[in-house]
Amino acid sequence: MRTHKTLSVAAGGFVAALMMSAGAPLAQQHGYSADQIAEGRKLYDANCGRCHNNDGAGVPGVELFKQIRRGTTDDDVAKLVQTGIPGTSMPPHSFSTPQALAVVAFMRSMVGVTPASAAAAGGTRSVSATSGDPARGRAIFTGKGGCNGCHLAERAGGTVGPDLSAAGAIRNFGFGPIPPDVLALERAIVDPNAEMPPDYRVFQVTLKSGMVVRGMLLNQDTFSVQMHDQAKNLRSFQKSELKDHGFLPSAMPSYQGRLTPQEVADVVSYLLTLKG
Amino acid sequence: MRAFGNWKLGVGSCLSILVLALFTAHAQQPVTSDRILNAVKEPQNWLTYSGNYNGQRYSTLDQITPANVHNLNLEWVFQVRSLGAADKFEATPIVADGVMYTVSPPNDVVALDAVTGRQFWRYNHNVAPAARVCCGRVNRGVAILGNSVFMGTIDGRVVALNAKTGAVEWNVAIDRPEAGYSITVAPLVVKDKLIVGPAGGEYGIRGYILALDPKTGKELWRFYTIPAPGEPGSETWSGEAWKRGGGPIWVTGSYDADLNLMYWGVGNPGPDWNGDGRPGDNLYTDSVIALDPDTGKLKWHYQFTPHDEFDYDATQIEVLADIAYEGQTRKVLLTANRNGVFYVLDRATGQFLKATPFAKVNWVNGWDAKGRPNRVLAPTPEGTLVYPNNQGATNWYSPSFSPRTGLFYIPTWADTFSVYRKTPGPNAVPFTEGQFFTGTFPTMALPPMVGGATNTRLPRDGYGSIQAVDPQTGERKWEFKMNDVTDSGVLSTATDLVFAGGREGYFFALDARTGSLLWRSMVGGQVASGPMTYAVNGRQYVAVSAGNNLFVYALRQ
Repeated sequence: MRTHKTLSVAAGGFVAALMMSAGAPLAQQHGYSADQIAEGRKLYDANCGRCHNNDGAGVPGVELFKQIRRGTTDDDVAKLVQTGIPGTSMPPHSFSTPQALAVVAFMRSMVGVTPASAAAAGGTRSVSATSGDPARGRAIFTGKGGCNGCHLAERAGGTVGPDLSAAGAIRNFGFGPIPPDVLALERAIVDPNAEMPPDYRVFQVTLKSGMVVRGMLLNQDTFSVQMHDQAKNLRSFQKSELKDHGFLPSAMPSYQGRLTPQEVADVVSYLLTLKG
Repeated sequence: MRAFGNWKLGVGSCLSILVLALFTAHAQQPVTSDRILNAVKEPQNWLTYSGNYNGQRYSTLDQITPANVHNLNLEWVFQVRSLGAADKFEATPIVADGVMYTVSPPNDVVALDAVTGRQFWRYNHNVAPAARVCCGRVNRGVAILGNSVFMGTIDGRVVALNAKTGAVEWNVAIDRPEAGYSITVAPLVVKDKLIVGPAGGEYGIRGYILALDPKTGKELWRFYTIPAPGEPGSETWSGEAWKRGGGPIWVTGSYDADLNLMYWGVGNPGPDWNGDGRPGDNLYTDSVIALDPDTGKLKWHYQFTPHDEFDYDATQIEVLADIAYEGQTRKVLLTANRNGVFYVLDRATGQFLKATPFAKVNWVNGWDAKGRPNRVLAPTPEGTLVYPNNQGATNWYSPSFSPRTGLFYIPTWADTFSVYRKTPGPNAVPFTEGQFFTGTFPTMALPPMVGGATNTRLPRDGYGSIQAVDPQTGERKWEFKMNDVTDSGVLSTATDLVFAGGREGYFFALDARTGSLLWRSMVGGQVASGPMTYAVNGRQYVAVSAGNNLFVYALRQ
């Protein structure tokens, strides 16, 4: 039992959205326990995450973190999980009804979570890199993908983007050896904006006069910005004199759709062979 | 620093300050517990951590106003010993009759002339090498009673000093520093007792609240925040987990003399991020407990985060206020919890009245009528994304409540997240005395604490703010946003000013009713303490510890 009136305000709209979209039907139909949600999460991760991602953002137009559009009651949604949606790529699943409801419980619990954060925080699931072929990946890297136009690997390639010569190396950092992050490599290919290396982030300010200055952010606070411009001049601006300021999107294109999931896996497999 | 250019004191004014200092020295009276109880009657002094037993950090001093606050001038600076990278200057000074007492980290006490900043005396505590602290060598300040000043130390001791000379009156070991017991809290004086407790929630301690005899340091009573088998609350533990269950005490409690109850926030259970070895709610971790100060007996408790696996210590200031609530005046306890939720409780009974998230929160989706949260998330092997982050939507940073505006002011880390991972199983986190007993450290997007480029921080990582919440409705009335987060406390005044700061190094004054910025000063180091105000000879001062310094401001004369 929950007292909804206590939750109805503040919290940047997030909680409000949570309560409106998730809380009301939940309360009316099923009170889910933390265990049920955890169970649902396991089932979701094993069966749904491959397409929907573990943050619900995997299928364009079906953003599970925003809302569950098909089916108004939890029972409807559970049935849909069991039967699939004919005419779409949503297949049927051999869940029992309690299992399907647990999946719904987990889906309800993630409504409102920011997917970019979830992706950035780790754990995006799409293709398993272990299924990739390094030789094919190498061919894509220098061929269809054109990755070597900007990235260095095996002593060849461009220097505009991060050097990938040791992308597959085990690094020692702080507490011990850190193996290469397969999911992060995959994400960097299909969603380059999700996690840009800080040194490659381009900051741009637009003055009220319309003048634009780009470069590297050195410092920032509530009232001012300090940066290198492209000529490495040290510049400082009061935010009150700016029309706009912020990071530009990555110069790297997304390979979502340009490469097939198998090709992405191939490239990742290739990157894992690069030990520097 | 620009303000130094404003030192225009000639010989004459130096002399007059000297005369005034002499005058105030003569006016010094022992700080009795009655004086602390009636602190509101002497707003020129700041006699306990929050200024008053009610924890409101509200001052009736009215010389500095929205109209003249832009004339604030830096009067003096006190520099502490150079701090280590993780250390912070968190103390709120005590001011009694023109003398300021504060703690220079890690554990040196100074008595300063509150007008000039010149030092009267200094006590240097040699910290035992065995001392273990999770999060920097910090101390939140001293307590005063009679002619004695009291400090807890990070090597698990409490020291009493003569307020006039700094001479040691007693120095007692409270617990074993090698086992992770440290004291960072500013002690609380209630009647004839000195109340303290140990930090160490990351070391598998078993926490407690302790009453000492201020004259001798002798223990008078002890309340364990983790009950032993057979005691009430022990049913929320299993096996041996209670022995290292955490429940540290590291932020000063508040006190209601009419109800004769003290309110203390209790810290996290151990291990922090893996609850598999401690099934159950784990009382009284992450709870507020109401204790009889005479006996240490528990009157009631309310647990904000049962079976916590997100390090949501309840070590926030419990603010006591009498407000109109649903048509009647009620004695309430207001607190903004690290878990992202603002709570209103009846402080006589502990009855749950209201819970309202004040930042992005996804670990809970509601409360039952008794106030039990419906927790929907837990750490997982693959990682669970949780709002707010491990530092919380707020933390030990003192909030403020203004009875004039009726608003509650919260230093906020807005919309931050952590990813919590754990290896399941009751024995997944091994315990070794004196070593971290936490589980897997969660990911956090944190700004650098000591300089460095900030392009590692993105808009999705959240922001800092001072926000005003109406306790009657839970509604946010205004929000002053900062680019970076804040570890600053808040001070409100009878002229409807709100003072606060942030990690960026600004100390500023806001309009208490609108949140608009009225004045700011760049202090060059993060504000990680609660601002306070006092007056000497009719002149009002505002003081704040930031970076390696204590900054004191007054209106330009």
